[in-house]
Amino acid sequence: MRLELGSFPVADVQESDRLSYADGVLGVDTEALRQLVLEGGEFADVSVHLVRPGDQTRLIHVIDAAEPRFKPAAGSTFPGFCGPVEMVGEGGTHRLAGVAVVTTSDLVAGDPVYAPEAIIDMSGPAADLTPLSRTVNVVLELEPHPKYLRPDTPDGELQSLVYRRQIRATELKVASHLARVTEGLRPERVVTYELSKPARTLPRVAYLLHDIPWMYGALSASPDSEAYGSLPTLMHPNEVLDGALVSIRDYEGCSRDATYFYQNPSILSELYRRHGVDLDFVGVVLFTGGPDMDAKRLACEYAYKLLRMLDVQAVCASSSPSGNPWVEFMMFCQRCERGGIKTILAMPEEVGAPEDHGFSHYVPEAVAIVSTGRASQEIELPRVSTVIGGSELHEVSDSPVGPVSVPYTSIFGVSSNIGQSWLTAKEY
Amino acid sequence: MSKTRVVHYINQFFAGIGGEDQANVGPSVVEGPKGPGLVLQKILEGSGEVVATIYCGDNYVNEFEEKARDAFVEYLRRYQPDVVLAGPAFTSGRYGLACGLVCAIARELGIPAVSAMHPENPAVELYRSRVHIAPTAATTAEMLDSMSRASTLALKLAGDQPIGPAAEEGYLSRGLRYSQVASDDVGVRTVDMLMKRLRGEDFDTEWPVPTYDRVRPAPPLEALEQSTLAIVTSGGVVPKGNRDGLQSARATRWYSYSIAGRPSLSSEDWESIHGGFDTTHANRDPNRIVPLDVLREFEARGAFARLADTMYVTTGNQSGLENAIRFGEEISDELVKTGVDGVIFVAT
Repeated sequence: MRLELGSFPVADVQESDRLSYADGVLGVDTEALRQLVLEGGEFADVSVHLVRPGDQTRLIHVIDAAEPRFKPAAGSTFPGFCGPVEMVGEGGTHRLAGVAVVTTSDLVAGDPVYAPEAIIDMSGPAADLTPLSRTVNVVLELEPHPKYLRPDTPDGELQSLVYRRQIRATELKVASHLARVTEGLRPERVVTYELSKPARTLPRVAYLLHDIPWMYGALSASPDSEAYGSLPTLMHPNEVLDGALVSIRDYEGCSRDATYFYQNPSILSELYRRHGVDLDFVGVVLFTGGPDMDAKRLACEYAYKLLRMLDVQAVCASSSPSGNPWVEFMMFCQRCERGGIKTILAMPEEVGAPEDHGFSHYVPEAVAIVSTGRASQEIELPRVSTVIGGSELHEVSDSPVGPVSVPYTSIFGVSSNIGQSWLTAKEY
Repeated sequence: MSKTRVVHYINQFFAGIGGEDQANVGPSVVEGPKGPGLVLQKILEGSGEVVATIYCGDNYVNEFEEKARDAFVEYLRRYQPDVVLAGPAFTSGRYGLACGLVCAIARELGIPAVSAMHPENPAVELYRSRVHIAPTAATTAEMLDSMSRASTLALKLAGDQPIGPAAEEGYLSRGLRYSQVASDDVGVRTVDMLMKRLRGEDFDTEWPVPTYDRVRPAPPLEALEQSTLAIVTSGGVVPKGNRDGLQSARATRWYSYSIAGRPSLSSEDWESIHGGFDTTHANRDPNRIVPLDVLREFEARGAFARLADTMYVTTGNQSGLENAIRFGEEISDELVKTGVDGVIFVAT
């Protein structure tokens, strides 16, 4: 499988009377985007904002972000959401590099009560911590349709789940629409992704992605559904890079696995970069875990079996962003280490005061952990001139205009171990 | 710039008074450096000065801690140091404890303090969270190196300079973890660690796992029909309105509520504030989190003797182990006091 990802770099975005791309400037007709968002009848209203790195702007109540993609030949950009379900990861794909479509929304009925703040600052100290502060962002400030404020749908499905999916569908529709501007143009730079056989024998390594995204538009698993606990499955890394996975969960901001992060994954890209040089990258295992001990054990046994069939010596694993699934993450580590597969874990330290060790669960075999930061620590956010996404924060009474102190937990993506994150924690 | 004023603490042996036979000698203070303090003074040279040396017998400090404490407080007030340096104590346990005590007292008085000792000195566990301790070798052979590590830290602390991570600054971890920005992203760091492991090279985990602990399950109740059972839940089920403000995640508290005379938990009076799952269905019928209705049926049927009048509630969502262990100890104390034989622990 050979993926040719062609980049169209975007340095700035401007309001325009039509969609355009020239000299690194993306022209956006925000009124047309508004109509595109509202045509489905899922939102009471939407405001479209264009924000840039360095702006004195704070986005709050961020839901997700996606990089605009377009397939010059036929094919789905986000299969199951935009276009039919068909395999991605092969052929040519255009990307608007340096742009993200970012969605914000208030809570709806059934949303988790811990009320994720999920903040993106376009300047200041928090802007050093996430790639989404470094992108030019087309922000969709969404207002849910009143039907989503009732607890459940007539057929009993939870409104919050339905609404979350609608947000993603709309975001991806806008992302696909924007990237269509590259139709007929030649990308400035093309990177080819292919797991060709290395010229010499190198250690075989896999990437285990512990998470519960939508995969090809289908609910791979969710803690809110009975699908939590589906069996681990094998993916080609190109599928991950090319839009097969879409963020499902509106979990705490710091470790939110944005769709943008699946499209621009950190560990996966690094394994690819060193494929054929230091190591032989053989594939990705999507590991969803399970709700009870038997389901967790089965998931671990099954993932371990897939890795054995792939004949790997080692695996890099990035954790799901929450408490209960950290149990199966550690169990997986134990299973692999006992079975002779060296396991490197990447995970955030979400719990506890500085003096707590911070683990919800741990095994003695977890000897190689990369920390994506102690999320309960506070960070001071400066005053900004513009706030998008709401007028107040859920968990802090201070105005979101700032200055305001929030835990890292509230900063979008800073502890993501799927996307790029620079946060770590050290012993003092 | 004026020189940093250092008060040095040593034991009776390093003060030249004598060994074990003099370990009961009481506290004293002299102006200027003494014994290993001469090494310290040389290291400090232009930047600092050992203004006084406190010394005391190791046994005296540990047997008459209150008296020793009073003397140390008086000496520190008299000499007003910018920083206190105690030791190095190497592997000597009692000397280490005395160093730890002097440093802890200094900290209470608002004076920065540093000690130096071997990582396995028993005083390390006791004082590491309160005092910066520079690691030393097991023996006095490395006095110069040990003293120089400790004095570097001492000067930094005295100058109010920020102290970086333990591994970078050369002190024993105080068991505190703080976020900081790394130079490489998570992908580069993960694959670097992978390659080091694959090549059999040394590598450092960024997050060490604690020593393993296991809970042995209690034996089954011998006569369930004669037993009093209590409900303990981490499901965050509280009286509606959450008057006590129980947290929905990372709970630091637990609460007890009376269920005396209640046949079940009505949705009018109870709700779950748990933040880890969608509570829509739970709040429609709180008995589905805490099955009081079913337990009352079993109670009436005589399956067990009695349900305790109090239930114990916290939120089990991203809980830190330290808090969880404390909740367990505190709640089980109450259960034992009130004559409860067994617990239905309802998790979510």
